[in-house]
Amino acid sequence: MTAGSRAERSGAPSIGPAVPAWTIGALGLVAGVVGSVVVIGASGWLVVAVVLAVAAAVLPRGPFAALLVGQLALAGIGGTDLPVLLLTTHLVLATSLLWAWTPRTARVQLRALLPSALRFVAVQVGSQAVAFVVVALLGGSGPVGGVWLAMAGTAALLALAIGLFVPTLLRAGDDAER
Amino acid sequence: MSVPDEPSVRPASGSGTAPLWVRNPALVSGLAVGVLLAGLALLTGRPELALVALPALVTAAFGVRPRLDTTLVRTTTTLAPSDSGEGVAFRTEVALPSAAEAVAVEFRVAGDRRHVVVVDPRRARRLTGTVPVTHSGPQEILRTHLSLLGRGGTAVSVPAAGPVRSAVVPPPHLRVQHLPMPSRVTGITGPHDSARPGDGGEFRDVALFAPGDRLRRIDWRRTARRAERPGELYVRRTFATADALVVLVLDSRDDLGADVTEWSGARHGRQQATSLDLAREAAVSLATAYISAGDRVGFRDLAGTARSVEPGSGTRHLERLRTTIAAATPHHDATATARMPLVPAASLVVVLSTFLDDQASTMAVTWAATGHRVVAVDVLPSPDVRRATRHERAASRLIALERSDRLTEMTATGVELIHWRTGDEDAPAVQLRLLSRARRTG
Repeated sequence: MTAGSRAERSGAPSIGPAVPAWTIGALGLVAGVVGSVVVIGASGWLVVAVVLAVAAAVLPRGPFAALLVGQLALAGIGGTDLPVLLLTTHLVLATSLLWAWTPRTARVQLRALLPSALRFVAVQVGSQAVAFVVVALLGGSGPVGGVWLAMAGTAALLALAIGLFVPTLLRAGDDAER
Repeated sequence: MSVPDEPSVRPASGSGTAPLWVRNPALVSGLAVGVLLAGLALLTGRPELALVALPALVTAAFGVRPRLDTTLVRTTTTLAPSDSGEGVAFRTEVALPSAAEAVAVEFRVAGDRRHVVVVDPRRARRLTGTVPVTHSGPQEILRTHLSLLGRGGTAVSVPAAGPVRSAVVPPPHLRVQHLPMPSRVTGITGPHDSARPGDGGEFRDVALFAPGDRLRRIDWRRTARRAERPGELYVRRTFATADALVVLVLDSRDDLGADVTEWSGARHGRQQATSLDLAREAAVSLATAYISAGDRVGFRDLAGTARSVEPGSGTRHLERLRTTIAAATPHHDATATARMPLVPAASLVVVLSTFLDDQASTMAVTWAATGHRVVAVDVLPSPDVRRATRHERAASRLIALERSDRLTEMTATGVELIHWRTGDEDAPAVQLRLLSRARRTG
């Protein structure tokens, strides 16, 4: 007897293959903890990272997922686990985005997760490819080349953020007030 | 995702509500940390920081739209109550705007159960299920709340109330074979033997042929034996048949569950059949059985919320009775004086009540005193005092004693009593079978 059939007997609609909503939060928690262990290693900062991961799972609308990403990014500077860092930080952010909206007691149709999963895969593949190009191919061209590449890429990202997202966010805020 | 349930602001079924979009709360902090990491990468010249910021910023870019779609969200719910007591089937159709990637639908189903599902727009167009119902009668079956997830996951809509749907759940009915009959039957024709001479009934006597007798009634053997003069003929005479007249009097002034702590009305949460559920079940069972046997059945409601139905027979009349009985609901003031309904002469009066006050029992005694056969059906569920405090137990014991005295007085004046309980399906049929046997007098 599945949880879905039990729920359907008590009046829930049938939605096909589904998972409980908490699995989204649990996925983010696991990603955060695994990423912390791999990137930070055994140290006092690991405790802080785990606490942030738990807080992100419990309070998904808070800034804890973003704080965890920031901590992992700073801890991963100069490390050799950039692919893992990219994967786990992206997973933490993606799951927090979904978990912040999903009602806690919901049953989530697997098909409803498909757009988010495809988006995650597309962004992740692209990010890993960029990371591979930056680290593996241009990493050996010397510190100057790496620094200039980082600065150029970052400036482009900042321009994207400021030029595109800030007006969008302001407009979304106006819509909410209206 | 619950919002206050205000019936006045709820849209009608099929009408649309414009989604109120807001940014995803997790997006702001994610975007902030992305910008921060990109800035740090710029300052420190570390490409790793920019790479970590890249997914956050690209993910946010997926949700960028020049303008959020405010096409109306249309929610339609249709209900189909089942006669077999399996519950109420529902079908909810949510037509979403193109800007929605998924929708969270909260269903509040009968009994205050809550189910939330997150589905894609295709599935949202056809959400079907069956709400199990414990109670019969008019009740709220389903209410919905909706929240949308925008394309890219960066915008969400504020939870909005959907339509509320109610239905009249038909009461189940018990198969009853043996039924008590009125003291005398009065109809012109029917399935029962009448005391007056006529056609269709049992043998009555043999008499001399008289004008008006049918020729096929001539008993030639008896004529050959008894005829003393030529031309003298004897005919067999029979009793006429008649149908019984039954009036169901439903006391729907109160609706009590088994838990005595809920009788004051201050506490709710009845998950088991209440007295009115049992009364509706008993009334529909008796009406079905009597009409199937060819008798005429009428209906009276003491609370006055359901209309009276004059005695009749046939399938259409049974449907009318079922609909009327299912619609009977408690009156707002259970202590108000109920008007004593008129019942036809020579009818069997069935009074369905909890008998917690004197009104129904007084009426039953009055009808019995005027020559009607009266059957009192006690529909109060077996009281459950497990959750009751010491004071509540004492109060319920006093009420039970008063009620017991009332029932004893009632039966002493000739009213016959049966108990209608849940879980013991044979008991009402057995009690009715005992009442159906011929009564001994003296």
